[in-house]
Amino acid sequence: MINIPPHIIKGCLENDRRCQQELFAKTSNFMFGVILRYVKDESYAYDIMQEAFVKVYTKLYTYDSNKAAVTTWMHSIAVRSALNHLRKKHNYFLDIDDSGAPATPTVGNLGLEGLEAEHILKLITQLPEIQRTIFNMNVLEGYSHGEISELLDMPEATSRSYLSRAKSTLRNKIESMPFKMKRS
Amino acid sequence: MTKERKIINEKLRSIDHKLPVDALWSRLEKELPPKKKRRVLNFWMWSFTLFGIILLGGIWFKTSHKLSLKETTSLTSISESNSFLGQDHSEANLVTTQEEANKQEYTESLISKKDIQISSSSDLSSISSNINSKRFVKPLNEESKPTENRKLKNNEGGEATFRREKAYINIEKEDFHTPENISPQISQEKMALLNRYLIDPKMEEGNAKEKSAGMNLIISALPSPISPLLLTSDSKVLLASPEYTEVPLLAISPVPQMSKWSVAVGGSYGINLDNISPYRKKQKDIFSQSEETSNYQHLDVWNTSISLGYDVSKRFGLELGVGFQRLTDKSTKIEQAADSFSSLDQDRGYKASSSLGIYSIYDTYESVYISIAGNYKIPLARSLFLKPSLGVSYNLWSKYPSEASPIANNAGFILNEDLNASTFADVGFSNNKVSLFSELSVGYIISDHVDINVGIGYRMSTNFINLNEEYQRDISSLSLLGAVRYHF
Repeated sequence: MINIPPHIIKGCLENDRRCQQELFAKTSNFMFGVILRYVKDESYAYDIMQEAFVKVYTKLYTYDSNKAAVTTWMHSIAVRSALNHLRKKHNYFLDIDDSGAPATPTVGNLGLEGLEAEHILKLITQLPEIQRTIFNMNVLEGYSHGEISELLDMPEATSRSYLSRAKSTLRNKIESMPFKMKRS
Repeated sequence: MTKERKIINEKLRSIDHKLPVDALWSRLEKELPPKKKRRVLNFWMWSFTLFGIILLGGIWFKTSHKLSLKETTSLTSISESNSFLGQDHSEANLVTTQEEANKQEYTESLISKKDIQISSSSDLSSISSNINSKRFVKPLNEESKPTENRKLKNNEGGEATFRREKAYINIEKEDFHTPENISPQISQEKMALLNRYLIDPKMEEGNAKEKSAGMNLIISALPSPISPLLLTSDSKVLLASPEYTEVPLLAISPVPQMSKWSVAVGGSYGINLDNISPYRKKQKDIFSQSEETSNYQHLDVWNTSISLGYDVSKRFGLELGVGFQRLTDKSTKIEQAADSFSSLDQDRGYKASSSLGIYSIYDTYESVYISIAGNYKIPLARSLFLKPSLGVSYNLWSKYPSEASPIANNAGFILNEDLNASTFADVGFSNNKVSLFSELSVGYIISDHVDINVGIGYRMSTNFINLNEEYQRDISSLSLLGAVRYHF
């Protein structure tokens, strides 16, 4: 749990460089981790993180401390920055039509929670980009398919379809992993 | 599901990516907007400079249209001279200088011009009403001013210089009474006081001794309907000149007939002045993908208020008010191949992929505020004054209803560069808490209790939070304003 003292938020609102640096030092690792779930290439992830932090500092006045923790708010900015990047990079979100998607298995079936953090991240980043994006949004961030559909500008059925493919891919990879990696 | 998600997320968060934090920070810092220093101070400095210019302009206006006290003193003293010189010009051994001759000529011409009635009666004479028509004559030019000092010879052949001291005698409303013949007459006490200055036996010719004598007479509180008066006593003009620029002071409270306390109801209509505001925002370049686009952006500021006024002195007053303000921010775009566009505050807009469309955003912002202002009254003429004022207001309550009307297909809101898409912005930074306003109005006194003000006002609103420039929204507006004030 990252603890951000109120005086740092206040300092950032006043454009205080020391507070901004402190916030960066405390949260950059976490922000980078969120972005890395969506973007495999670390150099891109650095760029996106920078863009996300600029948004954090310049839009901090919109943050309402009564609604959520500042890290939750920053998390959403990291996700949206990554999505923006993907949207600019590809336009595939608009071109998909998989209305006949199979039913989605639950995440519990995957057994991801039993793996080590590095292995989870590695498995996720190995997914194809669109599958990875939808998997992250649905399974890790908790977005509904309706929300994903709205954010990525695609039909809900398409979102379900890609999630299903992502889980199927992950299940296959997990099953092919050595036993000790699964148990750790 | 939630529990598993939590476990996975916690595991992912626990990964140490071994980031080069310092290097990344250095790179990020270059991208951050520079810290704006002394913003608030600049805001105040700018506004006070504006107020100062208005004030200095008013003072200049006044002084350039003023018959100075010096002139008035001379006028009075010359009239005085007229009286005792007039007793026997031929045998007077009073030696006047050329300047004094000029004074006499000057006075006579002035009196002639103004139709001022000089009475030889020992009683107060009636008021000459025909001065009314010549109330606003131009002041005399500098060259025609007589000097203050005059020299008299005494019986021993010596010479004494009389230097005029400033003896301000305020003749106020209570000093008058109106007998049956309607002519207002000055009270005996005040007349005695005037006579002490005007009829000084030691100033008679032959008795000239070193002595201060003379006066500056200020009629400061004559009620407007009877103020164009000329008082005479023993052939001495006390004061009559409509050019006497202190006379308009009588029109300004606190005068006997006007209470220091007053209430006013006013209103104003203003237009956006962002284009000349020192804190105007640069237009975001979000129209880059639009073609053949025409934009119309306009901000109206409506204001109405009621205030309680208190005149601390003749010139300086304070006003405490409560008001209602409504801003309407209207943005319209007619486009082809539109990508996006924003409202005037540039924090709201559409994202669209349509090829042709007309879009509009109509934001309204309403607030109830309290304000305190100081004003300074500069007399321009009788019953007419200039009133620069400076004040600050604070929003007690605000509301930000908005509506947008997409006409084209596939239009949707964009906000904060895709953040919180499809939603309206929180009022947030647009909700400026503090406004600084300066006003310059001309007031006219209609009666003993009522005056009206019309003028222009400049208002700047800010929230005094040190936001980055891109997101700071200071609203500045130029308004036409009007008010009616009732003195208790």
